[in-house]
Amino acid sequence: MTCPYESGVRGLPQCLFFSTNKFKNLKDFIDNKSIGNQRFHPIPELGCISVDREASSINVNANSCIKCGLCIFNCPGNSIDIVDSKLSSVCGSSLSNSVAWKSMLRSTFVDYSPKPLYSKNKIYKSFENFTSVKETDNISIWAANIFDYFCESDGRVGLEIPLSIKGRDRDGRLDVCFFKNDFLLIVEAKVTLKKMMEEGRYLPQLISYQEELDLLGKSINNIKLNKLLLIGGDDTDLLPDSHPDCTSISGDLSKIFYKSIVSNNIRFITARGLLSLSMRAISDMKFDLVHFLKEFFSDKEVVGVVADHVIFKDKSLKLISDFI
Amino acid sequence: MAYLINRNAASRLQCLHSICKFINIKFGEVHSFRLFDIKFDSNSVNVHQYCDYLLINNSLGISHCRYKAPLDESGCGLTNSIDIDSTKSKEVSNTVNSLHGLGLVTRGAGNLVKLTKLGKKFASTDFKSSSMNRIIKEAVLNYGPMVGLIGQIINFKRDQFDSSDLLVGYPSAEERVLFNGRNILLSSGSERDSNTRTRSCLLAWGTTAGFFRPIEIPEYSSSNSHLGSQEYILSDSRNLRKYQVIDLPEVNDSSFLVNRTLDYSQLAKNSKALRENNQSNIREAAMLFDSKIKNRRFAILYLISTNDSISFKRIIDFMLKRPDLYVVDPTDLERVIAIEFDITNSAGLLCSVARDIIKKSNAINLTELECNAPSNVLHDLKSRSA
Repeated sequence: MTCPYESGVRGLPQCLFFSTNKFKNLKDFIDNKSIGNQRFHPIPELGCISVDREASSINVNANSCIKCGLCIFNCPGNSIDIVDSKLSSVCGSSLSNSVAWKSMLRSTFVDYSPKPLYSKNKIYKSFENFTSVKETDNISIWAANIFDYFCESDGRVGLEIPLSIKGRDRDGRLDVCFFKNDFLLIVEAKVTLKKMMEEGRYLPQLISYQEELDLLGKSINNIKLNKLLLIGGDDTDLLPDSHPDCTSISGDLSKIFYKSIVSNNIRFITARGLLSLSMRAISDMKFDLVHFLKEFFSDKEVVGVVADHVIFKDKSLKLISDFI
Repeated sequence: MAYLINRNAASRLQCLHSICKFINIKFGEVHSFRLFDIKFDSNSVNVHQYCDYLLINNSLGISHCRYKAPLDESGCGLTNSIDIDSTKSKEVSNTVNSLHGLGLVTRGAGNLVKLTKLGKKFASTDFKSSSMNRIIKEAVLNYGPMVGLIGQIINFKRDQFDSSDLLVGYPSAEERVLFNGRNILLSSGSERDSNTRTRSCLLAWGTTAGFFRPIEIPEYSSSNSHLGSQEYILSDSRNLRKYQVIDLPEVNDSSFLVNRTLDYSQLAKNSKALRENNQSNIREAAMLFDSKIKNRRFAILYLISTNDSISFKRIIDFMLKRPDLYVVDPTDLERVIAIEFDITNSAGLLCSVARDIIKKSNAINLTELECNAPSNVLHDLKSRSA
């Protein structure tokens, strides 16, 4: 199958990479003052989609699909789709975009059950497995790629934006930043709840980021800002300890986590939660993901999103669909 | 004109071999080149065509440097590219410094570099061949800091050692001076992170050459070390600290000459590049006393090298007669010189010390040491030490 769309860096089809600009600091990101050349980020090597350079074509291997959605979000013509839980491509066909879109609308991709999305992929057995390792190579790139899709012409995404933290010996880096229509979303990516708790840095990180953001003062007064922890791995780890499906009761992991995020006003979304919302956004034109992230996470009672559920401070859960 | 290396990429002799193959094809032994000329250029013949260690990304259908992301346009970990170089040429500079320290290139006027006979031999030999092992041994023993490191291991008189016990870099005498009305600690020693990188490079070179190996990696013979250690050397992180001695060369012999010792200008770190934020006083004080620090280190090496044996007292007395050249604080000189003596490690000048007497065990190339030395200091040393 040949790709009908304009190729990018090193002649690669656009489904295999995305690009970001480089920013010196958060202020420059907000002001869209980039430095140096663009940075190109290949999608993680999953074996699901590849280039055959000799034949100048794209190979799609449905068996290796982990349903991460990267190819869907990256294809400029929406020619790649998940149909009946299988990766499907109309690359190079004469189908118009609208036909591809119709196919997308029939997608049954988003599985609202709490079970992992198992795959025959040789590297990662599931999407959860993929997001639970290699923070900068996997979950950060994946999330930035998703946000890049929703940027459209007036938004931007930044990866690893430097942040000088006064009074600390080491400067910080904001994993993923998204800015659109005066809405700034700062995402701190973590591979799993367990590793995040073992590392123990998430709380001081987010608190120090806020201290630094406060210093920007008036220059970000008109900007709506949300900070989110994006956590990979199994969603059931992120359920409150009172939930029967919670898999992080051992060592009071869930209890400790919820106590700390509630008392410090921190919110989280799981990788699968972001995937669900994103897939919903591209299959339901009425659902505006950016607006959702902007308004929903400003609700003081909301602490997180897991798969298709919202979790509140009192540890109760509700379906996201109830709010859309 | 040897420099103290302190960046990690050049620790892999496999990578240095690839860049030498590229240099050999492009410039040979005849033509000189500049640092810029060996930087990665995606639009021209580049090191990738001569590198056997590239990774293939099957999805993208491209090969890339294993120490760079697949679409990273800086291209090569040793040099970065002509378009993208976040290190501002520090990486390519350290690479050429390493090649020079190994005796694989020479430096000429105008920062022009040329492959040596040994460099040509290194480039033309298959890395997997047994003769490569001998070439690597010869190359690494050219470099002063490497010889100094081996000398320390010999002095341990043990079959095993911990890498954290090895001293590298510039001594830190921790002298205080009054500067602009403030009591300033002179920044004359290497920073810890810099020493870590220097030590890591030297350990990688010594491991590849078969002098020692990390205890935890599978055994191999010294003559096959360049291949036996390859998996560990090429890995992204090398943090094993316990080492087993395999076969140490006899570098503490009077007939052993260190060809590429540090030259005068490299006897102190570049004080203009001090990174202490908001500490301009420290930087300015270091720059003011920079020449005295280089002079006294140069004098230590020169006096030990040109005498069969010499006492600390004589070195101190020598300096006290010309405080304008060598002395920061005369009341503190005895303590300072005892610390500054460690510069012999980085120079590769091996010595034994009994009571107050220093006796050299090998020799360093004085012509190399004297490069860039101020004529008044050289004259003072030659005239008064005779």
